[in-house]
Amino acid sequence: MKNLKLKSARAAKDLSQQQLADLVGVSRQTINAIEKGDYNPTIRLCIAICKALDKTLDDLFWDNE
Amino acid sequence: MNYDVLIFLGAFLAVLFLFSFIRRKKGIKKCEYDERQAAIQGTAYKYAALTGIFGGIIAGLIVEADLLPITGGFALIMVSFLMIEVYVVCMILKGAYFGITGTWKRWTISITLLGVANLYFGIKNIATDGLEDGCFTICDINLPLGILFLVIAATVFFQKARERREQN
Repeated sequence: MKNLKLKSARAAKDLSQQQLADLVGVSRQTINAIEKGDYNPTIRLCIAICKALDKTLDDLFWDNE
Repeated sequence: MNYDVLIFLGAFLAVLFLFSFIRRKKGIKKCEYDERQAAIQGTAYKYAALTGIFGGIIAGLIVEADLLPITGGFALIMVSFLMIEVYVVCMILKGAYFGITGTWKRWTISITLLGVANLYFGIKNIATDGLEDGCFTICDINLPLGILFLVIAATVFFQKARERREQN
């Protein structure tokens, strides 16, 4: 399932996938895979992404449905 | 005493030393992989191992039944190269081969040149010397090796084009 919350949060910060990847220390492909729902990140990476985007884990990774 | 081997070995070690010296001087760090790439490495190893097992069985059958004009040594080397090929192609297609920094251009150019050189010398050797007893032996390894290198290079270009499409 696609992670549209992450994509929109990144876009709101005006960051490209590469810029976010550099901020959290992973490859651009990994950010792309998370956004596409092809990869489930570890909690460590989730927290790093949340900190980089000033969001909480619930904001980006909690599935409401 | 074969001095040619010693000279070759000495030159090889000198080049190796020079490369490591330049890397240290430039402060080039070891290639680092993130968590997804490390996970993909595991999957790629698995596919490579499976290729080795089944490739070995198939190669054995082909040599035993004389289905293709290849010697046992050639088949063995080909299976080994295929294992590496499967590992590399799998990693490239998943965007994990070049680590976090993703520096791929120089590496791909080197692989392409290696592929073209191997292909050229492979074809040239077979055209001039022919095949020993009509069979591919270890001496004819340049031709398939060149093809395998070029497949890796083509995979990189394909993957990069796909990534560019995804970004747009």
